[in-house]
Amino acid sequence: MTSTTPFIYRLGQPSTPIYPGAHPGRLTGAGQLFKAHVPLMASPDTRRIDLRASLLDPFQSYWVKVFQQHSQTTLYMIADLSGSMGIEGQSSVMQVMSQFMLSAALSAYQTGDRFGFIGCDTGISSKWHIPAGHHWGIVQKMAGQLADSKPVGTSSGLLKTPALISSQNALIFLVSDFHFDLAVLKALLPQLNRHAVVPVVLWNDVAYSDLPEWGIVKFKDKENAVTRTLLMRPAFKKRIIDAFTQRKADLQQCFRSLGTEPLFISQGYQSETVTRYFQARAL
Amino acid sequence: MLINFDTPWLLSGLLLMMVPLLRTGIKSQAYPWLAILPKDTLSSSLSVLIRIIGMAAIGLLILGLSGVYLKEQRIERIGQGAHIVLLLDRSNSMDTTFAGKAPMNEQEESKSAAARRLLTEFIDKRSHDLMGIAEFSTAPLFVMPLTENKQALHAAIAATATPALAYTHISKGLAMALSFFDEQPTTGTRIIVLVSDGAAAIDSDSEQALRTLIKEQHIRLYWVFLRTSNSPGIHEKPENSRDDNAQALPEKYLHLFFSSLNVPYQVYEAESPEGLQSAIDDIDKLENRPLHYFERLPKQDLSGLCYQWASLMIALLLVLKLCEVNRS
Repeated sequence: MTSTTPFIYRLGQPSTPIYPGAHPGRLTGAGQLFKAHVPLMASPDTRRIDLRASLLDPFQSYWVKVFQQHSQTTLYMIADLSGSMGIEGQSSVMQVMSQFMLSAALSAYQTGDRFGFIGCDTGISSKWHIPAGHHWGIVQKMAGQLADSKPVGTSSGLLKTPALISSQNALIFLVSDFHFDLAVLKALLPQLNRHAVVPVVLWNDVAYSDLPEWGIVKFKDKENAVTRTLLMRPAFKKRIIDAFTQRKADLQQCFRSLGTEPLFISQGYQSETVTRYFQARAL
Repeated sequence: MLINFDTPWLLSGLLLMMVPLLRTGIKSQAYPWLAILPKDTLSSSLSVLIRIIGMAAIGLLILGLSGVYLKEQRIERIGQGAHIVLLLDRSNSMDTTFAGKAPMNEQEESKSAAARRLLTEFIDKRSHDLMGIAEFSTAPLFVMPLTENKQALHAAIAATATPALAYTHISKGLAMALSFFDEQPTTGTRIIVLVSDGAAAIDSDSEQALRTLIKEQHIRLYWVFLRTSNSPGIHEKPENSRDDNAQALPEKYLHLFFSSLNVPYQVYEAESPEGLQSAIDDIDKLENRPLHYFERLPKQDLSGLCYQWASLMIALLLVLKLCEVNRS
């Protein structure tokens, strides 16, 4: 197994938990960043009395500086484990998923945040659930199981996942190939709107750009066992690639309309891709 | 039904034709989401085609195994011609020349050889006729029923080259020739061509029977009498009236019998191969009437054809299999 590298992430909105952490929070406390002046009675810390502000106050009360406390946050990874994710290619989607899970968990633990994992196929099973916390051992074990798993079923369990996520705002990685009706997304994303959602679109080149130029192929849908025999030729391959390009545009359009920007990963996992994604986002 | 089978129970194997509908033999590869693939007419027609070829290959193999064949068929035809029965004399005397000697060298031709040669030509000329051949000697010989198969007729004529038999028993020969017309549709003319070099007395019983039969069958009778020189002719008038009886002059009395039948009757007295030739030409000219007849096509085995097509289909499937992309 390749060594896990973490990525750097940041939140677009202040986090609410009371535990100190690495993200700008809503609480005042031990921090570097000045937040406001409060009366001495509200924050009885004589070390932080701001004399200048107190002198300028016509009612002659004492004002104390308070600072913004950095807070902890929680990372959730919602993983779609439906049949379509079981595509094997040069790098199988499940391996990318497993690498992403390790990388996200490591990033969270290094930043001092909590990490939770919810896997779903047709339903949700406790087999693929790690409650938010610091469980590096369990994460490693489940990542190994993920890489070896042969997913089956549909992705209808996705709609049940919001119930398992805490109400405090969190950073959610929604990892799927999104090979389902966009109406599902329009139902799911509003339920997660208090959280920062990062849709991670895992595609595999095998399904489009790595198709053969010529020949007969028979494809079997992983989820409903429908088969199609195709006569591959360059013009038809181009039409398939165009269909995927169109799908990518549709997904982007759909996610943007719901306030998130998707992250597309199609050629193996690299943590730099995720770091770049967070750096490129306007906060 | 024109189509029939040697082993019909093997046709139950046709159920195997369902197999290509369920499996095409192409190894399927996992694909995440087929709904995203654009529609492609060529691909969908190809997948239908593969199934059809597979079904055809299996179906043809099963048909071949079950031994499919086309039954014997009768095709109705209308032509110019007649139903002709050649009634040939096979008595010893036919193997002599017209001079009454045994043929000594190549130039001399026996009566039977001349008759053979000229009748073969006659058969070739009459393209639409149904012809049959009967022979008679002491007993009648059934040679060839009425047929349009020229090859068989030639063979039958050629078979008379074997040495001749004993005597001349004409009434039984005639009865056999007449029996050829039983169960034949009455279309065209029915002709009996009697080729003989002599005759024999007909007893009164068989005479009566022949009279009714010939009337019933609407026969036209031609008698080609190959007269050996110095033998009594048909119109011979003996000097002694005591000799004027059926035993002494059977030819004359046979002629009288034929003439008294009230059916079209013609006698040709041929004393040489040329005479025989002109007699046969005469018959050829006279007898051309519209004729309604059935041509028979023999049973045709179709399993070979089935196997040919099946191998073609299998070859096509093989080509398609080789076009398959294998990624694994």
